[in-house]
Amino acid sequence: MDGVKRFVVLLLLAVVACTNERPLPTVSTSEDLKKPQEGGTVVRRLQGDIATLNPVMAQSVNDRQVDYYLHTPMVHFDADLSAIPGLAEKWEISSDGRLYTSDGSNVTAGDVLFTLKKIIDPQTEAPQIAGAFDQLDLRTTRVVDPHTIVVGFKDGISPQLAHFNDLLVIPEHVYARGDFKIDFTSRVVGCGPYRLVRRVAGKEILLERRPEYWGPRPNLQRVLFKVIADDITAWNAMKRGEIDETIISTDTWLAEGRRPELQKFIDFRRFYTLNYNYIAWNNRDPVLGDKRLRRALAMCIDLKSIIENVYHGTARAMNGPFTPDQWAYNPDVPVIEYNPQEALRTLRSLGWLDTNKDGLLDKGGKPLKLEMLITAGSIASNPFAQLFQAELKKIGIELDVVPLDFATLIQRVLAGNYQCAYLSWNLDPDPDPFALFDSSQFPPRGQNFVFYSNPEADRLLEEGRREFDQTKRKKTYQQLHALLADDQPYTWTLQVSSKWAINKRIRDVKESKGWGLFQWFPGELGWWIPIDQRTHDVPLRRR
Amino acid sequence: MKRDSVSAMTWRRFQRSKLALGALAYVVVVALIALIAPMITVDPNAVDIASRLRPPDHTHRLGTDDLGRDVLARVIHGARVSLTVGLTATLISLLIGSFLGAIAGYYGGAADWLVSRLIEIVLCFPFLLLVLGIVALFRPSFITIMIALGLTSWTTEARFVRGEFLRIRDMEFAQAARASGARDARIIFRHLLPNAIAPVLVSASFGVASAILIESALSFLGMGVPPPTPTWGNILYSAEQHLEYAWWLAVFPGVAIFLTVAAFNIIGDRVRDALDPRSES
Repeated sequence: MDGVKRFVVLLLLAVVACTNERPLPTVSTSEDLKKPQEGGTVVRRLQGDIATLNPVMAQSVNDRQVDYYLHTPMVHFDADLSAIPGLAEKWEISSDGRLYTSDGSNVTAGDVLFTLKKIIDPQTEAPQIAGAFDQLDLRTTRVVDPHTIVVGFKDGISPQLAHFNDLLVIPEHVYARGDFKIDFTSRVVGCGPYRLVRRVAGKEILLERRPEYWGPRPNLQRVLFKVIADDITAWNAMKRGEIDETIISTDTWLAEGRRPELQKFIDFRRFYTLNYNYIAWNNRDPVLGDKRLRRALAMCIDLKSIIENVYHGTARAMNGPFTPDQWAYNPDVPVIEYNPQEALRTLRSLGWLDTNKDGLLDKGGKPLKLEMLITAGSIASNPFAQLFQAELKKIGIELDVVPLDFATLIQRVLAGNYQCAYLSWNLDPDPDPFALFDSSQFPPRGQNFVFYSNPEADRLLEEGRREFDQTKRKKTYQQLHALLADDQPYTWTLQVSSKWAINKRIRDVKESKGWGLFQWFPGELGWWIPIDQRTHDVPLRRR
Repeated sequence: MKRDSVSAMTWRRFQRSKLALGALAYVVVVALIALIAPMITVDPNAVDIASRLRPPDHTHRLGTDDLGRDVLARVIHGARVSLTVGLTATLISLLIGSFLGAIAGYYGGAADWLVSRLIEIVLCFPFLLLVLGIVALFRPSFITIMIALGLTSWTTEARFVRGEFLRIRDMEFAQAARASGARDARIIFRHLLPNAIAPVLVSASFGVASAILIESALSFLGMGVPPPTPTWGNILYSAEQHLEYAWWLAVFPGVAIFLTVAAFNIIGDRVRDALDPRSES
């Protein structure tokens, strides 16, 4: 192939005056209570305060939760995580290009270009989104007319379309003025269905429905976010009816989920999302570089017992980079069985013997000691690490568990200054794991911080992301799944289901396939509250 | 000249408080139990997740934690960590504090200015944050925590010793020592320090209590002694997630911390009263 494949995206935007053709809501009678009604206030929980209201600078899932109300993404995901029109009305794909057509009020193609430029501008330091557009080619990107933009990419990869979900367009005439990084942390101009009423730092964010919104109008009049960092505090607030939804821990779910007095007004939900836990092995480590040893260590994890005793069946064993809900998943890949004796035999065959009878395996005078980094304060990693530690001790391996604050941990992992770490990933809807396992993606370039390198894996990763036909991609990824499960650059452990408590007054709360309750369409924008259950409206007005 | 030594007199006064004697007895008993812990309990790190979060019963007198480990064994072994950390950290701060305080108080002038500014600088930082910072900078371990606590809590001792030195450095016995040609080091450590140490011991007793609390706080924040070593703080930490249905995880280490900290505080309080010549004879 000569040079880089060009990828062109053409985007059409029609400036449409806001229309208000919808009939006004009629007063509901008791027969109407099953149909969505407009109005009402939902009180949502934020697990931490937002860092900024500037969607380009968004840093955490909290920021994204709020942004999704204030901005309409170019491309929505539907419940099956397929791309559907958002701000972009439609798009086309050609062999070396794509055509996007969009329909939005007061949003111009110039704004889209402005936003894209801001995203990839190194000065912006957009921490989360920059990676989604790192192949953007500004030389081939151009505004055709106010409704149309051609977006060019240096490289043609199939996950790119899904990344347009991250593109929340901001108006140039507002955001071009002032300091981009500082001036828009607490004020916002978006094209979404809600507008900001107020933000009280560290406490709450109140949004109100925009009457002039150009798209399908959501039902809820107001959305109040309350910042509650602690899970237990949030759960108590939930029980008092102060918030309408919160994620809950497995133990809370097990202990309280069956209480009839709570079931009266709380809907307990459990579903799997796109995430998994894993042990990252530093493949450059002299000891851990051997995949036979990594496999032996994996045999010392009794996943079945953990799932049964700790999660009471609300988690699944993982065996590779894809979850069972993803189309890329290979159902024929086995989970590594718990078998410490087999592990010990493998270790002995690799020369690890307890020569000095101190209870620890050793080789060449060096005992088999490993150091595992975990996030201090993490509910999932602490018990897991201690169970693993106890299992390894039984066959003569010492595991030092080192709790570090998350920033320090990531810094050490990215620098390759670690042996192993217990971590978790939240995955994108597109299964492409290129950045995690391709040998070109060692940090700081990508996130292959296990320094895994296998030419065959590189080939499959490359092939998978360049293919646009999902059936063919599936085949490639299933091969990759088997290869990675065999090589064990990670040892995949668990996919723990998400548990949620939702107040039953909120109606039509649905979950998507793997993406959870939020940030797909209609998702949280489809919720409504019956007129006789609007408990949170009165205190809000009085304030 | 026949006279009761200060320590004998203090001990006599100390004994008058039943509460203080009880506290002292409690501390001694806890220390003894901690010493022989491995002999009287099951393995505190024996994991058995099939019996996790069991309430107290005949096999597990104080129940089990979230990994099925025996809480009684962990609380008893936790005493070893808490007491060792408390005593060692206090010893470190006592050594540093006395030395710097003595230098400052004895020499005055530039040395005093330097030490006083150093004290002020250390005091500027919120104590817990400073300790957290040091622990995070290196890695959380038994040793790091003791050193971090010792390095940050010596200021009280230093100020006490400095104050005492300012008071006694020109007294007759000090002048006599100087006149007989004793060198500074001998005067400071042989003559002055023993006479300045009493109030420091009071603060040391409070220091042990506060070190135990801080160790618990660090463990509770997940930055304490790393797993699986049991400490009262990290048992509490694991209790936090299960508070609503596993009360035994929080109550027993909580009671242990409360009683021990209270005991050291009562002892410190009583020693201070006993040393005070103005208190009732």
